[in-house]
Formats: sequence, structure tokens, C-alpha cells
Amino acid sequence: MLDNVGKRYKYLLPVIPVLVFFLIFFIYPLVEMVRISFCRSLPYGQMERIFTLENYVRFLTDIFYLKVLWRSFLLGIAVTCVTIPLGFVLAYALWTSKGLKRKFLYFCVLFPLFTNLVIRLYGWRIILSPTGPVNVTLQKLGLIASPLKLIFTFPAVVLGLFSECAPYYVLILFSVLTLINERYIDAAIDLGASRIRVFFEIIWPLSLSGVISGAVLTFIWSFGAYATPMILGKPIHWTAAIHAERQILSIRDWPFGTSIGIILLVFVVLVLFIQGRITKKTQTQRS
Amino acid sequence: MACNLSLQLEKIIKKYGEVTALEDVSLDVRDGDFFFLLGPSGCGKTTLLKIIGGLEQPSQGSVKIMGKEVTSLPANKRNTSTVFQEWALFPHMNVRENIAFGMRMQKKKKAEIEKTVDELLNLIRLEGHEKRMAFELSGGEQQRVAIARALATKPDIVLLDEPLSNLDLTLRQQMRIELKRLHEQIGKTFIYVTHDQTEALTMGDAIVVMDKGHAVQVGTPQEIYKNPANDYVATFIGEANEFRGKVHSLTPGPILRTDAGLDIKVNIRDKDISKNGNAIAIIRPEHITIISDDEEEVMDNKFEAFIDDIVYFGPSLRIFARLEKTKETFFFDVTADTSAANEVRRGQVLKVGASKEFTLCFKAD
Repeated sequence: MLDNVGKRYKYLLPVIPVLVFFLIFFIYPLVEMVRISFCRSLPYGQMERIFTLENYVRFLTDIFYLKVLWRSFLLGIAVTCVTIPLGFVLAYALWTSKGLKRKFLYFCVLFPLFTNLVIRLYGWRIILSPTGPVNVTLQKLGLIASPLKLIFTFPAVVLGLFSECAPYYVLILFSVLTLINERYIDAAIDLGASRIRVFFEIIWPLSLSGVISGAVLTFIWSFGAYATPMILGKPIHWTAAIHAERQILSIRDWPFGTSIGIILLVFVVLVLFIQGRITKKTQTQRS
Repeated sequence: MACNLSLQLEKIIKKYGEVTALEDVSLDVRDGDFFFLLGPSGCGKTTLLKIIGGLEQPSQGSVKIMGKEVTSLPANKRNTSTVFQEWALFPHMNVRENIAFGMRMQKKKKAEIEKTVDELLNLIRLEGHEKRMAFELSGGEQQRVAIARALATKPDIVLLDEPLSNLDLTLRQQMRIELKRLHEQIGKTFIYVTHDQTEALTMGDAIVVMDKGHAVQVGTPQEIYKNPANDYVATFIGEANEFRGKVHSLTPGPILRTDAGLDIKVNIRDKDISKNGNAIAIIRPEHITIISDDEEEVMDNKFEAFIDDIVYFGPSLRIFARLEKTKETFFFDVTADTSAANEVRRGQVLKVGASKEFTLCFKAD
């Protein structure tokens, strides 16, 4: 009997190290965070271990934090709206190119990922600064008299996040595009469709699952962004994630900070759940 | 009579970089014909089909459809429709939407589209399936939907790119009959690419045999089978025995001496054949017969054959034999249940013969 059970679960053996790692470094901290978020905070970073909802109530009733959440949401939407079409152009170019050109484009998409995120963001800061190459070039061309205010603006944050998310979005979308049988395109052209109609009738609907996965990834990334709004934005652009960090590390209010984190987590899970419902529909159409 | 031609190809050349896919192909196809492009894979037949449909541009040459010059027109501006090898039904559309796609692109009225789709569903016998998605259909059904989709735009020419190669044998045979029926009902020109000579012989009004980018011979199935233009066509269409050798003499009657030293009286079909030049003699299996003693004087070629093997085919027996003298192997057919068929045994030595008329001789490399 016992022998039988042993046999049946033997294949799980190699999973154990991963499971242990996952338990220690993911499940345990998460449980701990949830626990702390229900505690009461006391002066000087102390906390009372009781069960209270006051942190959540505070966040969800304070207009300031609701605005922060709303702005994080808007930032996520803005970055997603920029990434969907621009990333599509990139993925499409990658898909339709061949040989050396494809390799070059592939390299261009992947190369930013080899550089540390913070270094890339400081790069943007140089590029967008009042004496940076963008402003200097525009001034030299005589298009503007005085430097434009580019850095520490909402568009700068969006641009930074776009440059972070685009490689992932492009790779996801590219992998879906390569699954499209090119005969479908030939067939559509053969039946009288123009290039534009081929795109909207065939390529777009068939790549939609990739667009959705990529867009959700982009949204979640931007919604929970930390470094980019910090480096390229002003406090007004700060996301809920930055406020959570500040509550925990600067103000030392662990219960409130963790409750912000948990709220963000719930939000993201919700988005993923909705995505799951949508892609399930499109997937049954495909396979 | 140019007006009777649905397709005219003139001196089509197609090059991919250094590689030449099509070399100087000229073809005329009569309107309403079931026309076959036949050849082995890599002979350029699919490229030629794409050039007709406009999915590829020829490097040189001109394409005329219904007498109109269309060489520079892209596929979406040409009145041709293609049925692709793997059918390429749009996976995100159901049967009705697939069939309606072409008409939607032509900006036809909704009512007209509905009516045509219903007619086509009736034609392909798939009424009641219009809400199904492509992946919910069997291979044969997908095939029929692909044909209906191609017909919906009322094309001048329907192009079919090996449409049956993904089906199993039984279904393929059914679909051959089905396609023939559809062609007769619609009366449109069908241009059909295949490497399957049976399909071409049984379904085609006319065939072009292609080899290495050339159109080797054009004709009806009978013409091509009976009078192949060269040894390539003779061996590609139908089955044949080949005897390679040199032309030994031209007068009084031409004789080919095989490499093994056998003399065969031949019927020369190649005008640039010369004495002592390399040549090849082709004899189809049905043209070799077992000779009884009283026939002996009539046959032009007579051989002593050692019977290696006998294979039963139902209506006929195929006999694999070796020549007693020169050991060259060949095969021939005997109608089953005749006295000759009943008496033949493995290991026997028989007298067989072939008439000179059916011993076709071509120039060889």
C-alpha cells in the first residue's frame, strides 16, 4: 500500500527543490505581508498584532491614495495604448523581414534588455534634459527658441515605460504572428482583399491573442512601475508602488505599506482573470 | 480564335536570384477546360500557378486572362481564385464567413452575398454546416468549403494547387469525381496543379507536362499517353520499360542496340536522332505480349524471357521478367483469366514480343 503511494508520487521528487524555494521566497513573504497588512501600526515603526481592516479602509477612503491608484491606472492605460500600435509596427516589421534584416531588428529589440534598467532610465534623463540631444538638435534646427520641458513629465514617464515594455510585447506578439499561416494572407489577397483589408480582416484578428497577452503584461508592468516614475517623473507621477515603498522604508508604517501592496496585487490578479476570460474565447476559435 | 482562350501565357520566365524556376513557358488554355499542370515537385508548376493568380510576378513574359493583359495586376485585382494545397480556410471565420469573404471584398450587397453563399452551400452539399468553424470540419468538408470560397467571387479561372494531396486515398477518389461534377456544373476554366498522373489522366481535358521549368508537352491525356514527346513524358505519364543504348542503324528499319547488346527494332519519335547517338527505347507494359507459335512471324521484336515474379492485380497480372541473353529486366501485363495468364509460372522461360509501332525511340543524353 505504502509502496504504491511512493511509486505514484515518485515523479514529484525532482520538483521538491523548486517547491521549497517557492515556499521560502514567495509564499512565506506573501503570507507574512498579508498578516502585517491587517496589523495596527504604532509610533516609531512598531505594530500591534491584532486583526484590523483599518489600513485598507484608510487607503480606500483617503482621496489622496485613491487619486494615486487612479493615476497608476491611467499610467498603465497610457503606456498600453502607446505600446499596442507602436509595438505592433515593430513586431510586424520583424515578422515580414528576412535574413540579415530580421537578425538586425531582432538584435535591436533585444539589446536594451542587456542593459540595467536604472542605467537605461538615466540615459533617457540625459536624452530628454534641457541641454540633452533632443533639445539641442531642435534648437540648432531653429524649430524651438528655448529648450522644451521634456524631462519630469507624464509623457517622459510613458516613454520610459514604453521602452521597457516594448521588447516583451514585441517578442510575445512576434511569436504569435509567426504562427499565422502565410497561405491565409495569400488566400485573402487572392480573393480580392487589399493590403489594408488583409491586415484588419486576417492579421489583426489572428494576432489578437498575442496583442492581449502583450498588452496585459505592459499594463501590469506600468501599473506597478517603481523605478521609471521615480527617475523620469515628479511626485505627482508616483505610482501606488512608490507610495507603498515610502510607507514601509521612510515612514516605517509597515501595516499601511503592505496593505497598499496587497491592494495592487489584488488589482493585478483581477486584470489577469479578465484576460483569461477573453483569451479563452479567442483561443477556442483558433486551435 | 483568341476569344475562346481563357488564359494565354507568353514566354514566361521566373528567376529567384540565380535560380531559374521557369524557363520560357508559353501556354494557351481554352475557356472551360479542366487543364492540368503536371510534373514532379520542383518542376515549377506551383510557381506558374502563382504567376497566373498574380501571387508572384514573372521576371519576363506576359499573362493574358480572357484576352486581357494582366501581367502587372496584383492578385487582388485579378479575376482568378485559388484553392490552396492546405486549403487555408480562415480559422477565425465560420463556413459562411469564409465563403462570403471574397464577395465582401468585392463590396457586394448583403442580400446578394447571402443568396450566393446559400447556392454554393447547396452546390458543395454542406447546407446546415454554415455556422461551423473550419477546424470543426473534416478534411473533405474543408476542401469543399475552400472550393466554394474560390467560386464565390465568380472568377474567370479557378486555380487548384494540389487540392487533394492532403486527403486519404478513398476520399481523394471521391473528391476527384466531385470536382469533375463541379467543373461540369460551373463550366469555368479549372487549372489544376498536381504531381499525380492518375489525376491528370482521368480528370483532365488537357495536360501540360512540366520538367525543370519547361513545358515539355501539351495535349489531351490520350495524345500524351500515346505520343509522348520524349522519354521523360513517356516515363512520367503511365508506366514504361526503358532500354538505353545507341542507334545501331537507321536503314532499312531503325534498330537500337542496348548497352547490354540487345537489338530492338524501334519506332523513331525524335527527329534529331542520329546514327550511333545515345537513345532510349520505351515499351509500355501492355504492349509486350506472350507469343504463341502461330504469331511468331508477325512480331517485330522477340525475346526469350525468364519469369522472375508474378504479381496479381485483379484485372491483370504484372509479370517481372529478365531477358535470357542480356539479363535486362522489364515488366509487362497479361489480362487475368486468359489461357496465357493461367499458364505462366515463375522460373519459366517464355517467348515475348513487342510490335515495333509501340517501341518508341527517343534521343537520350
